[in-house]
Amino acid sequence: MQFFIACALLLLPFSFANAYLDPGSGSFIIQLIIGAMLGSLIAVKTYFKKIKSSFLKLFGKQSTDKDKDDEE
Amino acid sequence: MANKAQTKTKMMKNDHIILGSSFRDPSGFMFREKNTLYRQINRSYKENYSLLKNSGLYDELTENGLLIEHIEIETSCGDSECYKHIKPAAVPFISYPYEWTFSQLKDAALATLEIQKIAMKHGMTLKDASAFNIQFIEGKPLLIDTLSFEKYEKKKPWVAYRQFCQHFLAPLALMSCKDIRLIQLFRVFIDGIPLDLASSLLPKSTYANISLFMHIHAHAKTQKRFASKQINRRTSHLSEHAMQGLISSLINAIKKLHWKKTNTEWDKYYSFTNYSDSAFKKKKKIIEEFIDVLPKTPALVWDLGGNTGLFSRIASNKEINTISFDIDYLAVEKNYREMREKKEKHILPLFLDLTNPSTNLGWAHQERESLEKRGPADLIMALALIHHLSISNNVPIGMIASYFSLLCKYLIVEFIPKDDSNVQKLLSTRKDIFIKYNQKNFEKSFNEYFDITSSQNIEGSKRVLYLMISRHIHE
Repeated sequence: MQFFIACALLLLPFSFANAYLDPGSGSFIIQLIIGAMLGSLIAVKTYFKKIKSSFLKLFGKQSTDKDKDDEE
Repeated sequence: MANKAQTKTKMMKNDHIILGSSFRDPSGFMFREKNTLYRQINRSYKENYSLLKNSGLYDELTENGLLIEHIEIETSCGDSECYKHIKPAAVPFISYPYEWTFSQLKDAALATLEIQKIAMKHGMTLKDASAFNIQFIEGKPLLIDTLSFEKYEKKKPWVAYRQFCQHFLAPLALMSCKDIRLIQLFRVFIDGIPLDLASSLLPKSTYANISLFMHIHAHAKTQKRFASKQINRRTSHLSEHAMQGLISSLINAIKKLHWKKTNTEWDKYYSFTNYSDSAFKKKKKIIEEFIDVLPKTPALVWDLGGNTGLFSRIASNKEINTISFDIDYLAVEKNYREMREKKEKHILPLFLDLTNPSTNLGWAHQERESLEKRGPADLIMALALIHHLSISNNVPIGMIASYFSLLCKYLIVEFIPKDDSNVQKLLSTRKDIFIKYNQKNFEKSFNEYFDITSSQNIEGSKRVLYLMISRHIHE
């Protein structure tokens, strides 16, 4: 996933405009980009975990105690 | 800001001295009164200080040994800006990142990120991430700036991100991927290593390291691209998930950096000695006796040329705060790893080139103190060191004696004669121009600055140990 973020960073147009002049602008922007992408990754992971846990509940009879421990 | 601090110094009573390192932050400053350090918290920081204490953040950080403890002082400040005075726990010795080895900077970086994670849990965030705010106390990296926190405003980016990259990630990457000595860049760039410089110095192969690519290379390029461009404030949102992702990414980046030495190299590294086991034991015994015979147990010992800390531990095992300095990064790293593994609380290994010791640095030469200014030590140990300074570096013995007399009250020093094989090794590749390098001249030179109180031959060797007291520094 981080690889795709890196590729995306290279492709970004960097077309921001207006407001204020700040020597730290670049640090600000890169943080927003990296953060947004990594944040999405966390959100997707959390969502995926929820789906996985719903499926496990649905097929609960088939899951063993060990599976439950692993899930924890 | 500096002018403001200087004005304040003049306005305050004579027994209040504001520290030269404490002028950037409008939230407060450090000052010294009768040899005790205090911190003033200004009214502008009142809300954040209350949040620090009331949110449970202060308790969690201090219980986990991540933030310096303090007590509140019940006095009237006598300053309209003042909200409160606090007295932080004492720091036995202030050290700087350019005196640290790889693992020390790495541990300090991870401690900073751990603090940020905990702070966010309590609705606060670090407003700065300076390596100078971390000190090693009782063997652990600790944040000493109580005023580093501010309320976390949802969706606001981490204001200390650039500073963290400059102070921690960039130097660690350079040390890991290029050369361990590049941490010395900190002596020139005291606000951390500029990312464009780090990016240009790092090998091209680091572009393939995703973390370094994002946080250093792409970061540096973005800084350059937007150096003189305006950006829209409305776009500056960073969700809590995004902030967590950013911090986790930095933690992974730091954890993956290693000083590439194999375990075998670490295991085989040892202090070379050319004398027998019994002479070695005798030397340890004499040093121990010299320390025990001092009129008062020293509060601070500096072991100059301490190597991996073998002799430093004679003092630190007596619960005396001991700084074990050496010029060899590998020795300092090994010493630090041993300290960490054994959870030792009284030894601090640091890098020091005694022929070019740390100087006063920063604004008005007052932000970072020289070695001398952080002294004097109660006791200096200079074992198997004089021949390196005198023969390898051509420093006359009289100048060594003169400098040492400014650095300590007591001195344990070892003289190794010219016919010792270690000295012969130093002379093997150069002409012997050191006609004054002999025991008689050594004693005469040191006697100009010190009273020699005791001397003992190390049986089984030609070496002599001396205990001396400086005439310059009195109790």
